[in-house]
Amino acid sequence: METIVKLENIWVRYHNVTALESVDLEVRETDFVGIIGPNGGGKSTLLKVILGLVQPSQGKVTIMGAASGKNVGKVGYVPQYSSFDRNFPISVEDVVLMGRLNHAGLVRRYSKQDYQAVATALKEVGLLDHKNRHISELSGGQQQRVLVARALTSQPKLLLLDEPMANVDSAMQKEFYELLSRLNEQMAIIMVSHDISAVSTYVKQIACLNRKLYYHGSSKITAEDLETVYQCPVELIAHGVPHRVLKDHPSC
Amino acid sequence: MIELLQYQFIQNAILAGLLSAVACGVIGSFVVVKRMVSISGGIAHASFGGIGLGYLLGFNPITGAMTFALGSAVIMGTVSKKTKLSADTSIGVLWATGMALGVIFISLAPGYAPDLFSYLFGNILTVPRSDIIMMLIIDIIILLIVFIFWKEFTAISFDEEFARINKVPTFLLYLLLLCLIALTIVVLIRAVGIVLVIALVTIPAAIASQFAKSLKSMMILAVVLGAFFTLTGLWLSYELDIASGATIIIVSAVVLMVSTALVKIREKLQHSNAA
Repeated sequence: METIVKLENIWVRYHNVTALESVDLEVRETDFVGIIGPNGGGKSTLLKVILGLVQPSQGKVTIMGAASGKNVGKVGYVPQYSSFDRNFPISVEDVVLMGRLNHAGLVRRYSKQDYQAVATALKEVGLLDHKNRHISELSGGQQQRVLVARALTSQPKLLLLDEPMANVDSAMQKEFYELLSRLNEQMAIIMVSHDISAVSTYVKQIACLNRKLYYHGSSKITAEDLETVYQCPVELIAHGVPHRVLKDHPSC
Repeated sequence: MIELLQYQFIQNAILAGLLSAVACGVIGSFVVVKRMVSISGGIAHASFGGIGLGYLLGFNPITGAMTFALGSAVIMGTVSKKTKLSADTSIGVLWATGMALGVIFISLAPGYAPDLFSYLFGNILTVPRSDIIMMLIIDIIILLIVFIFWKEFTAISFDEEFARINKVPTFLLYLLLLCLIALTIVVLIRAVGIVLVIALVTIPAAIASQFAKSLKSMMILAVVLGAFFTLTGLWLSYELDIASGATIIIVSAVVLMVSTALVKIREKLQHSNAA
């Protein structure tokens, strides 16, 4: 199985604050990793290191065998919901087109090929018939899927999602996870969340992050891990089965 | 009313109003959607240093204003993105420093500073032909650059980080956009003056944003509104014999308040219909 991302001994320090400490992570092509941890635990920083937006003070990032930043388009990014203005005067199609910025190139207009990639991505997330709508006319869940479509236009091998469930109402969450599950057949996924319960049965591997990363390469997680990460006692919602998070939760 | 149009100063004023509307509609839309109102205010006030230098050294104060506006745009943009000083702080400091320099230069200049009041508060009725030509050239430059970098300017306004991930040179484009704001301010100084310029940059675009579904339609609507405000303000100020710059701003502000109220009422009605 091909390794998509490899982080080796990553340290990130902002001024005198250490955001990430000795983080190792290897994600392969069929992985679906859920990273949970408290706010300020370095989850967004970890994604930014993979994206090449934050240069680690120490350590090595390899994406599909090359240094990070060299494989633009191979990593699709779905930022936090708050990263854009919902009232921005722009249509769904024009938002998704931005995923083709690098492909189109500076100054050039978007090509027919770019528009086709947008149509394919919108179809994938089930919003093709909404392409001419203004983004504010969409529900929170639909807006989230627009951002996923934007990330898909470059045909990535890895999808990074930052708190994707923050604005998706609970009725739509299952549908959204099913979309991610389907996408996971074609690409690796890393999803971060501060909300433990948001990490559902669809996730194949779970890691905990609070400056340090606790990762066992499986979806099982120990109460000790969580207590170290959250620095307070945590009760696992596992309905009698120890050392599992939500695995045996009745279908929600 | 018609016979008024024979006077060259009225013709110039109308042309100045229309040329101002183009710059403020197009660039003002970026200012509003990318939330750059305070940095635009800072650039406008810093340009006063150039006006003062023009008086002191005897060149056209507008040339000085353009130099100072462009210089302060680049400095504010760089300091706010590349140093630990916040954007807020660097804007505030340059805002006042530019004004202070202008005051010192003017006090050093020999004799009386004519037209000083019109640079601060605008006088669209005294715009000379030479400035009209300069405004036209600046408008063409603004439209050309916006056309060339349309995709990139839209992208950095909507989601700068995402643009950066896709290898868009966001910092340089941000500085370019600030320079276009500086040029817009120079165009508008003649019409409404340094102190009032920020209102004409933001109000037409702010009203347009309440109705527009795309950036392009927002710009077109803002240009039309800007033209309506400058011409209505010009006519009212002539009829009532009051300051033109201030009249243009008051007309704009009244329309903004009315449209905001109407949008709110419409929302309430839709809400109660849906319920």
